[in-house]
Amino acid sequence: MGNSSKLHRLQSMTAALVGVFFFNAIVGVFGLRLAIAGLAAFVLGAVVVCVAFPAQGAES
Amino acid sequence: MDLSLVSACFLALALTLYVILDGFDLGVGILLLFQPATASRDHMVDSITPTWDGNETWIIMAGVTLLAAFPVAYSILLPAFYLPIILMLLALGFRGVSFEFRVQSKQHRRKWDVAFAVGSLVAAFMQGLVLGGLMQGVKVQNQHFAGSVLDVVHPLPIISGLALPFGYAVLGGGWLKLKSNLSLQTFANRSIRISAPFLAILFGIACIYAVKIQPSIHSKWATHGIPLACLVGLFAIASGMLTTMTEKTRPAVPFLLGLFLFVLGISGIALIAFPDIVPFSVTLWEAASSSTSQTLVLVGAAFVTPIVLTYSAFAYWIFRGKTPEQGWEA
Amino acid sequence: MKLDPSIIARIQFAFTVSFHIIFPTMSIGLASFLAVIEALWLKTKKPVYLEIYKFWLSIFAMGFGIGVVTGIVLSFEFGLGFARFAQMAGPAIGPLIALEVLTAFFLEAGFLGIMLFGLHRVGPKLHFFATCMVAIGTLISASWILSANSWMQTPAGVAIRDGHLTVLSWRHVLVNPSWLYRLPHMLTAAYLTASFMVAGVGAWYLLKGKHQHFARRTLALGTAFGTVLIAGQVFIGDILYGTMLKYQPSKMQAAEGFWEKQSQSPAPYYWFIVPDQNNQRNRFQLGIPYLGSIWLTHSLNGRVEGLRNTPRDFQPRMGMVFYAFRIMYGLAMVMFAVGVASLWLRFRGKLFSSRWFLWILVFMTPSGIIATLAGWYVAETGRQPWVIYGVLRTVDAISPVPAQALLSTLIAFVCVYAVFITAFLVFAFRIIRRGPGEVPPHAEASGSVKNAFRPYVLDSPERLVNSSITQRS
Repeated sequence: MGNSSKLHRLQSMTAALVGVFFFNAIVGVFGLRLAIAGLAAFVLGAVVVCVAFPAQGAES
Repeated sequence: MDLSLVSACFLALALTLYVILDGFDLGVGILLLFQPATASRDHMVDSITPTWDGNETWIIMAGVTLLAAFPVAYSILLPAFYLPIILMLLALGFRGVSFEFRVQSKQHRRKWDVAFAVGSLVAAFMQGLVLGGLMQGVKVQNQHFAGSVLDVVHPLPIISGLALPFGYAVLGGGWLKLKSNLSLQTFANRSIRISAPFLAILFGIACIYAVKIQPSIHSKWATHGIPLACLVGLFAIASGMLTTMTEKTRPAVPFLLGLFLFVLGISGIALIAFPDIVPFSVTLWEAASSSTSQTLVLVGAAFVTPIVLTYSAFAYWIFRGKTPEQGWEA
Repeated sequence: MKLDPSIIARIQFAFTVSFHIIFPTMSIGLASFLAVIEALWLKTKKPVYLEIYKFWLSIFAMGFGIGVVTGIVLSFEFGLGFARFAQMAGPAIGPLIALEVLTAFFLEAGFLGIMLFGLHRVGPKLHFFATCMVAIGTLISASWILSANSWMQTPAGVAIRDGHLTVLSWRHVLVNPSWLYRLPHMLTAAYLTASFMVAGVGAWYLLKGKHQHFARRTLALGTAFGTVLIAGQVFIGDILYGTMLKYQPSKMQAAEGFWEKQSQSPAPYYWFIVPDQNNQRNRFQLGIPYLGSIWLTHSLNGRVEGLRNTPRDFQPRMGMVFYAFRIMYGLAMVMFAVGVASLWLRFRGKLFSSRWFLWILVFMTPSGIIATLAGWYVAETGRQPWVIYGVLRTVDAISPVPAQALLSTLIAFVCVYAVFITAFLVFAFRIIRRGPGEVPPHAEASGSVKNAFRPYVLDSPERLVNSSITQRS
């Protein structure tokens, strides 16, 4: 139980860091090309997550 | 083609449509003050609810046409009528939100009805004030307004301010006669029979007073006496018919007569004011913007106005016939 | 005490336009949301979508009404408070706003009645068409008015002589340098506003354990849309920033809090400053090191240009622009974080059960409105002292109306608008407390296009059947 919650926390922190990376990419810190690519990747990823993991109970 | 003249016609059209369409909306609102029965008041408001928004939009069209085609006139007239216009806008605001808010609360509905009615009355009074102020004449210097914001507090504007609500009440009564059920018919008839004579008397006083105080109007009567006299005569006849109408009068007649009264009034004002757009100091052409601006507005208007009128008519058609007793929510 | 009419005129316009923008922002967002919901209802026939539609329709209706009447005020207020501006700019922005009225206001107004009251009068397809027309109307409306405002920010396509303006090219007036960047930014802001409003209310119901099905659906939709939209918004925002840096450098200089012509290297990103405009310096400043260079110059050691690059007479007030920008940008970051969190929680299957997240969503309900307002304050206070950038200064643009008249009408506006917003909030909270209404399991819009063209019959059998209410869903 302790290990899995440590794992969860690690996963959450990784997700947060990935988010920070995407944010900075999209605001153009790494240049315009990566901003566009970052936006596209983020949106695609978001769509995939929403479709692949429909929030439970949302479908009737 | 004289673009300024065409723009002026479109402006006149927008104002006329506003006065007629929002006229009966404001009229029904004013009549609310005299209707004690809650269910009847609900019925009255229901009759104008589906279409009020489109009606009110014509005043924006008029104001914005003035801005686009006659910016000099816009920049003179709006400061000149600063106080009545702002009070009108606030009153229209109360009227508009009351539509949405009154259905939200049963206990406070009476209060919202009063807000609705007072808003309609104040808006009508302010519009009359502006009308009278226009006929009185606006002080202009170097194409800028040079008078005082309190110039409207004078007899002619005040008489016009009192007259216009009666005119709207006639339209409102005519609309109710068309759209409401049996229980409101007597009320509608009575509203028309009482409002029409008051309107005619105040209108008459305003005409006479205007000739006395504004030399330009006096000279207009001298040069265009016959057409003006015809308009006044027709006005008197139509008002008389409305005052003496009975239960047997066909439902559409009072409303049409009311519209006719307004068309007569607007024609008279146009005849008197022309060729000025800021009576009696600035002509249409002096106030006009360049042809590029007027062209864009007129081309847009030419294309879009017929479409707008069509689907607006469609909206009226969808909600045609008598307003349902239980309202629109059921 | 001598009152300055130009200051009062500015305060009055700022007040009325700030109040106004809240409502069209909501209306644009909610109208499109309602169109999506109605499409989902028509496609899936699931009653929850009709519940969602009817619930948000009532809030939408109130907001739309206030938006209309406060908007009418603005179309006259150009002339009331700023007659000299109206006289000069009328030929350019007048036709744009005229076309807005013709192509958008009438469209919305014409179909709004059917959308609000026609569910039982017309068939489902015509009603859906009406909803879409209203949504499209709000979009077209935003486009025109954004073009007019963008022309004030980056004027183009006109020739000016003796204070009179002639339009040379409508293409350049309409498609002025900033319009195509500011328009998607505003539209996205509106859609974000609706997403967070919808998600926030859904989260509230989940926290209270009520209307579960309604709440889960709206929360899921709100967060999904919100996540995608905030990513797009942040992207658009950065592109817009680069554009405004080019066309209105003084605005962006004021926004970042730097005074020196070239800041230190590397530059920090300031979050708190106490600016002293008279002495052209900050009395106090607090920021995150390196982040200024990273975010503002996309390098590790770039220098940022400060406000002293603009002559003093043409400088906007740094305090207002800076804090407005920080609020908007700060909220954008929070929204982005919420979006990422929502994706993560979906992945872990905990989207509806993480109470901490639900509470955050509840607090984020008005975030779109606040961010939009802040963004507009950046736009408008950052443009000062110009009303038409580089052409006409605000102080030269006011009406020949005495300060007392301006002040008394300002007070009148504040009082009346206070009534409007109080009533709106009271009724909106009441609608939320009451919750979505029951909808019969097989409810449909009970009219048809054919019926709409036949004479309307009161108390027809279909109407009596549909007015009965069945058990809770």
